[in-house]
Amino acid sequence: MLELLVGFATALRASGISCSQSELIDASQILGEIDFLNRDELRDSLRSAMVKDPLHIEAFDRLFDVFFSLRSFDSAESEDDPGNPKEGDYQDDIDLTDFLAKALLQNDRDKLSRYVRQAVSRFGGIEKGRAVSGLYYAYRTLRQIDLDRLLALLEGALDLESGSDFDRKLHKLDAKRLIDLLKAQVTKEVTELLVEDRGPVAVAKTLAVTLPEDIEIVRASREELARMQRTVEPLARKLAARLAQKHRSQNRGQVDMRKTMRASLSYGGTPVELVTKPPRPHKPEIFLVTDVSGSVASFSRFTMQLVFAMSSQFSKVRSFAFIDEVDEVTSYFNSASDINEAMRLVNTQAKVVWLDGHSDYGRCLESFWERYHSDLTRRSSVIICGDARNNYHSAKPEVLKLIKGASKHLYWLNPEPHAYWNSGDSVISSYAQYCDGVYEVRSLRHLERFITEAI
Amino acid sequence: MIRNDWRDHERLQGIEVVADSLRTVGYLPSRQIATTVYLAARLAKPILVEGPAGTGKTELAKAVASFAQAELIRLQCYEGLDESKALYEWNYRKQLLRIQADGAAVEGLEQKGGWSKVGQDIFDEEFLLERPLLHAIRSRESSVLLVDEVDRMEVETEALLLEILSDFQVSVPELGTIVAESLPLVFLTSNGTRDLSEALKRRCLFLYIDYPTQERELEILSAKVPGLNSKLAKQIVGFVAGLRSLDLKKSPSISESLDWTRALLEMGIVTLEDSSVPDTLHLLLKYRTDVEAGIKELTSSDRG
Ligand SMILES: Nc1ncnc2c1ncn2[C@@H]1O[C@H](COP(=O)(O)OP(=O)(O)OP(=O)(O)O)[C@@H](O)[C@H]1O
Ligand SMILES: [Mg+2]
Repeated sequence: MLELLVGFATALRASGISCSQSELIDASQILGEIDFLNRDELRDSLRSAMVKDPLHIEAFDRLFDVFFSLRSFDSAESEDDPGNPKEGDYQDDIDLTDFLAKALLQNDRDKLSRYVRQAVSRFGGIEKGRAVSGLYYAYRTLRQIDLDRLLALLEGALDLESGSDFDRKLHKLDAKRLIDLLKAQVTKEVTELLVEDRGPVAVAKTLAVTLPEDIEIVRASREELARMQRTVEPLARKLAARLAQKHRSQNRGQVDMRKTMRASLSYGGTPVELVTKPPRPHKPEIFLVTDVSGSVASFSRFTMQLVFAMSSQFSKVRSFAFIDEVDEVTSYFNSASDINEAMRLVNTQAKVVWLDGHSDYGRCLESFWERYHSDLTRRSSVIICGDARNNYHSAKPEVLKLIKGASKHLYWLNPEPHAYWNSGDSVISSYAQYCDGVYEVRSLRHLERFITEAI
Repeated sequence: MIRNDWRDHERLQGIEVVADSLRTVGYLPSRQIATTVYLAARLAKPILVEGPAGTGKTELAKAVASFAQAELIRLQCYEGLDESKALYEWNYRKQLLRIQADGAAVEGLEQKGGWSKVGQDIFDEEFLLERPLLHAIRSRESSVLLVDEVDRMEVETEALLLEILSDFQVSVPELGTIVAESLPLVFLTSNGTRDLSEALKRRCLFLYIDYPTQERELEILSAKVPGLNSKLAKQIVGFVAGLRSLDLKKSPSISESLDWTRALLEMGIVTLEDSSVPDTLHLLLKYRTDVEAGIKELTSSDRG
């Protein structure tokens, strides 16, 4: 067991969860306090000793399933081979959907895992010995289950109980949740079969669990984008607090003589308490100028969302979007209820396309300068976000010189890997000469680093 | 060696026992919550509790103190909290008064044995103002120490806290070292507004309390709101769960769904309809834009 635990800790570290030696010792001590053959108990217990960041819980859970797979656990309990249908189990594929629906509706975990096991062994087409992550097998299995029909079945059954308009909406959500449950179960089952075949260490390697803050933004899948989305708000709060702390410590220590003297009166004139002046924060003004064209859209979105979520730390935030035309989009962020709504407005209402909708940096920077230069001051930090892929238009780098001259700082955030800079139509180096810094921002972690270092 | 009275506390023998103990005082725990509390008692480790606002972090510490019949010692953190408010402080006023009184009684300090004598006098227990951390250490019986919203205190103060959580002893230069007799069970809560130091996190068990599952929220509502019919309760938790899946500025927490439920009962509502929800939504959602998003969700026929 201890050996398994050490392997598990190694896998956690490999995926970026910092599990220290002392935390590993805690975990091993815990084994003496619980019934570690009870898998739920073990998971909850190890979680509280080995994960200290809520954003890492998901990765922990996935790796836990790999290392403490159900089969290696309670093989004693399930005597009969679960792969074989039992009396009353489904007979053909049409039936399968009905059986799954029933198990989900009855919240019957045992039945659900039995049916899913059967589905995976029939449809997953798992090839032994292949070093794959298993996502593919899960996908293959799910494709064979008629999810649309399943969803309809679930909704229908729920609606039978009660059917006002209001209830029907709730049932839709319930049904979706049940489908998610099924998907999770399929993934789990596939993982277990793989572990049985190749052992936990090998499977953990192919899983390559990436923490949300390390996902490469421009290449992220939809599911990964959703995971990242959830981390933006907490990240913004952390960064805001960090900036506040920085501002405070820069301002500390100024003694307010008048208040100190007054306070000393109650101690007969001895200045027992030093009263310091309240901090006077000098907060920067942010001008965020972002390329919102397809190639970098998700990167722009996270950057804008993050900066707006931190706006309390800036005296002003203004945001500009461009493709081959630039437009101010600040008001959309101030009025929209959430980031999706704001981005919808940016994409539908803002005038960011002039000709063909291919990025034209030179034209947009020039027009930004012409229209807004009088608003730039010595307190303004201008942050330009984009890959500087200019579609072979004229780059007009001299405009950046003007922008730099009129503001305090000028930064450029490029979401592309450094190795690709200046290749093809990328003109980043012609702009770089006028910037205070050009940052490679491929992940939320990079974005975090930029904000902490530069702002 | 400092005693850990929590390890053998009869209400904490086993995860299920902990869960039951919490339930008896009206706190409905998840399995994870009961497990972490159990382990903290067994291993004598502080628990760092994180999670969104209003999910029962503070309440958990109170509930444990309550069923264990232990004293709850609370240190509320805020920006600018320092040693003198967290640990101890000398009562300057009283000390000054004593010096003056001594002086008046025997005109001239020299005759009374000089400054050293007064120095001894005024650094006596009598002039010590005990703050929560010192109080927890000096407490004879096992106690619950709640360090609430630890993310609000500054990094420097966090170092002080870390020292105390490591040794459970304090050295007061004028009095010597004070060592705890009985370990307090420590809860630190945080809303995650800033990173706590690695050292502090390493020392603690970590408990993340997320919004409850529908089943648990149903339990909480039923336990806390008498006279709630099960149909309405189900609708409420279903709807609230739906709202939490939206991208809101502030998702409704347990305390808000409790408020909403009570308000609905006040108004004599027995079942939720499309028409009755919008008027009361402001009780559940704090921001105007969130209320609008909620109504939009309600009126849209299907979600993508
Ligand atoms: N598990 C639970 N069982 C019963 N009631 C609960 C539970 N969790 C939360 N509550 C209720 O929710 C209210 C809010 O809980 P609490 O004040 O502990 O939240 P919190 O997590 O400390 O929030 P904050 O981060 O704002 O301090 C409590 O007053 C309590 O009534
Ligand atoms: Mg609280």
